Amino acid sequence: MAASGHGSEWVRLGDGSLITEDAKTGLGHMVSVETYTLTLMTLLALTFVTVFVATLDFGAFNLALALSIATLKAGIVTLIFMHLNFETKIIWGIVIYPIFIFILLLIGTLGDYSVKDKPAPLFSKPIEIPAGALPPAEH
Amino acid sequence: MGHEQLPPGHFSYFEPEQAYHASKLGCWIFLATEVHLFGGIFAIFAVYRARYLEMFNASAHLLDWRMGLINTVFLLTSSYCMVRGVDAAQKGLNDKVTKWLNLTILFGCFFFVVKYFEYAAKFAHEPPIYPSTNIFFGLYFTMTGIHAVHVLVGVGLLLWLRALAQKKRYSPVYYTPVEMVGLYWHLVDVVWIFLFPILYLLPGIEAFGNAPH
Amino acid sequence: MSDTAATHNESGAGHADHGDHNYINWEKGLWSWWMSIDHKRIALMYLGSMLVFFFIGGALALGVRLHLFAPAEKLLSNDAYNIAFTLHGVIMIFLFIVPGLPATLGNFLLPLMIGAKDVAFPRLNRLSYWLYVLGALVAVGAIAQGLDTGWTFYAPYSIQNAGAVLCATTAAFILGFASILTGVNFLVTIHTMRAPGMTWDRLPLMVWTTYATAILQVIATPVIGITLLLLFMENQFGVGVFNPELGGDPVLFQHMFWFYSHPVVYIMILPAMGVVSEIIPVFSRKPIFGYRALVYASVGIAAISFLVWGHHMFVAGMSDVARYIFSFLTFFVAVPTAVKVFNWVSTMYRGSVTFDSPMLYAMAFVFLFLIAGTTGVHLATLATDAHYHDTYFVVAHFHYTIQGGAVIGLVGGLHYWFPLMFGKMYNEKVAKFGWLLLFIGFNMTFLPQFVLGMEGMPRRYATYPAEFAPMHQLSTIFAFVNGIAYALVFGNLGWAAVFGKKAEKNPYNSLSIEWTVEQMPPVHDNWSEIPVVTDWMYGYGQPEDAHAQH
Repeated sequence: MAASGHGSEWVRLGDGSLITEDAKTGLGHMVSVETYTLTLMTLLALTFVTVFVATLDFGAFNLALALSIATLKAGIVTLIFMHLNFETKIIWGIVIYPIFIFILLLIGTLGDYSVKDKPAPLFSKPIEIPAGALPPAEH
Repeated sequence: MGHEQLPPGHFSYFEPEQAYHASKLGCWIFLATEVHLFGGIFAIFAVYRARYLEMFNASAHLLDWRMGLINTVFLLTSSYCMVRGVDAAQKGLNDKVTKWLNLTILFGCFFFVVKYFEYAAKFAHEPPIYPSTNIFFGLYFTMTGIHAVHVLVGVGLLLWLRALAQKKRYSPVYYTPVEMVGLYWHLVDVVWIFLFPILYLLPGIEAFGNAPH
Repeated sequence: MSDTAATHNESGAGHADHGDHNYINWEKGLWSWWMSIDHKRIALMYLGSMLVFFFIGGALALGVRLHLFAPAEKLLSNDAYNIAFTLHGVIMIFLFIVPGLPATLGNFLLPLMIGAKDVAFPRLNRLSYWLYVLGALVAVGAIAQGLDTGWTFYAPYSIQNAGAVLCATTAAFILGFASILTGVNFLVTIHTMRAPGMTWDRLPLMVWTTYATAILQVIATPVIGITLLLLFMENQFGVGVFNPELGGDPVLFQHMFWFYSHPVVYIMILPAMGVVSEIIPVFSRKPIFGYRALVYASVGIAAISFLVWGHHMFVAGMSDVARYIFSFLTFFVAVPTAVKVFNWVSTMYRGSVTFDSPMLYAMAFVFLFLIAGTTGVHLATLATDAHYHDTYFVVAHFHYTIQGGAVIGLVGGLHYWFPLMFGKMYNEKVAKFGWLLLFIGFNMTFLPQFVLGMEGMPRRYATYPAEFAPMHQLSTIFAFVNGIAYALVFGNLGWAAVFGKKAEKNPYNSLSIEWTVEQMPPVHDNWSEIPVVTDWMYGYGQPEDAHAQH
């Protein structure tokens, strides 16, 4: 984005704000107000969809649906309200890498719990301890 | 080194554009840390929900989803007001910035009012429901509590922004604080976007004539 | 000379009278230091505070070792012993080595090494230090209340010990926040404040390791934050998240705790590896071998470090599948480190090596970390870990990594950059003798502990059967040698910081740009004109080839 000119004077605008004399455009990206308003409408609509879907019974699929719609809403807020749509690759990296790490944490903990007490894949028999290998129980 | 290009009173080693990009980068990294903070407790919620599914569903039925819905609408609207505030700051329209920040703060306060009634209803329940009641409610109070603290901090930041707007500090080449607080506020909104269905809606709700399941 | 510097005409001790002022003497008074946003002053304040805690933690260690000198001797009651080793761990980890190299050497060197006047957010940097001090004060509260859970705060015991745990978790939360802010600051600094010509492939390796460390600081620390918050909720509001009596799961605490605490050990070690990568080429007068491989290895260590946390929990009650996976992944994390060791040794090969004290520390690092890493493989292997877990083998392993690795790296770095930081030179003979005493003391303290672990001596036990006594006694005696060595080493440096001889500019003939400041110590904003970088930092011994490298 073009920044202000070099070494220019500061000028006070009618409403009192400061701007450099030869500023052509400001920093950052401009999004139209209509886009913002449309986005809000979409988010509110999706919220009502979330609630409506929760009244129906899809069994285990309810969870997936709720999370998908939430992810979609979060994505819309991030892309449009937070301007991620226009950001550099570095910032995209900053957004994506932590999500990946979070999924890792989820897999590690949830995965551990879901396979607890189930036999390990490679050994289907418990290991036999030969008689006399353990000291006799004392109490 | 370009000091003369920033509005008077600003300290930085940067050109304005460099300062803007650096601040944005720093803000997004901070948001990533917040994602991990909430992500950790979401992971714990997932583990316990898998273990105690019936207890979680039964407890979630005791939450009032309509209050959650109202809060979601409030936060989404306040997010909209926030981004309109950023937009106004980008154009250097400090009066409009003040107006939109006022609305953002207002909807944030409405969120708190609803939260207050929600918590009060839980404590006044027969029998009263506290964080120690069971793991679901322990996590519910912790997650919404940490979120509420973030909203509170956000309101504080918004009040500070408003004070700067009244001093006419924002212009197309300097509106960085507004955008940074905006990013933070939107993140708080995103967290709630996930909290609402996960806490209130997962066991299913009764509405529009459909029976609960 | 920067025209924003104060125009005092004071001259430091032993300096020529150009009225030269530097970042140390241009503004006087404790308040100016407390309020300083200069990354160099902040680094020194961190260093001073951390060394205080280092010696307190060290004294606690000596108390523990003294108690363990003989099995029958009861220097401390059992409860007091638990408190002693807990505080040793908490102080050393949270107040010394986790802020550690990033807060000191990282803060001091990062802007200088990339040609910047300061970090990206200097006031945030100052806030980080203030939060460190606040966290340290709260930690003192925990200390005063007799924390005895071990530094790992495992549930359910930590749920029962409410008062001290409350203070300790609050302190750790505040310190974690300081760590996060430092990480954010460093990441943005490296991305946005490099001097003209300082491209990514010319970055000094210390900067690359600081970058990888900052990523870990930023991503891993919030997870311990939320874990400590939940512990707080559990203690104060009876939330049953980790308490088995309320349906919670203590192993989940361990999952969340180690998800942070494994990456944190890489936060401790990566900058030390950066220090070694900087020192070895200078004292071998040879370019660093395999610059690109070292970069990938640093970033690779940071990435893989997130995948291995379960190896702390092999006998805690995880599923078999999880144990196989974590063991398998843990073997991978050794590979980037091995690449680094190979590259460091290859740098020295056929170089013209001089054995000044910084180089002695760098070489000691390579040797000691090799032992640390290979004993780590024993712990990564499920079958042997079942035997070694919670024994002195683990204690010796992590002391080799932390002390033999990170602390040696810190001390070596302090020696190497000492002239830059203070403009003075320390006594080389004393430094070499201190190094020797440290090397002998450290090794003879912890090698016996490997033996103890293999023989089955459990850790955190206040007493033991008589057959373990000889090894314990050996370890205790040399622990005191270790302590005396540190006193000598830091005493030498401390004395030289005040009374040392003025150092010549760039005494080790390094090509790295931090040595091109106009004077040593630098003025408060480093350069009056940002340097322009045209060459790689490691073109030693081959001036005509320097351009051909990059």
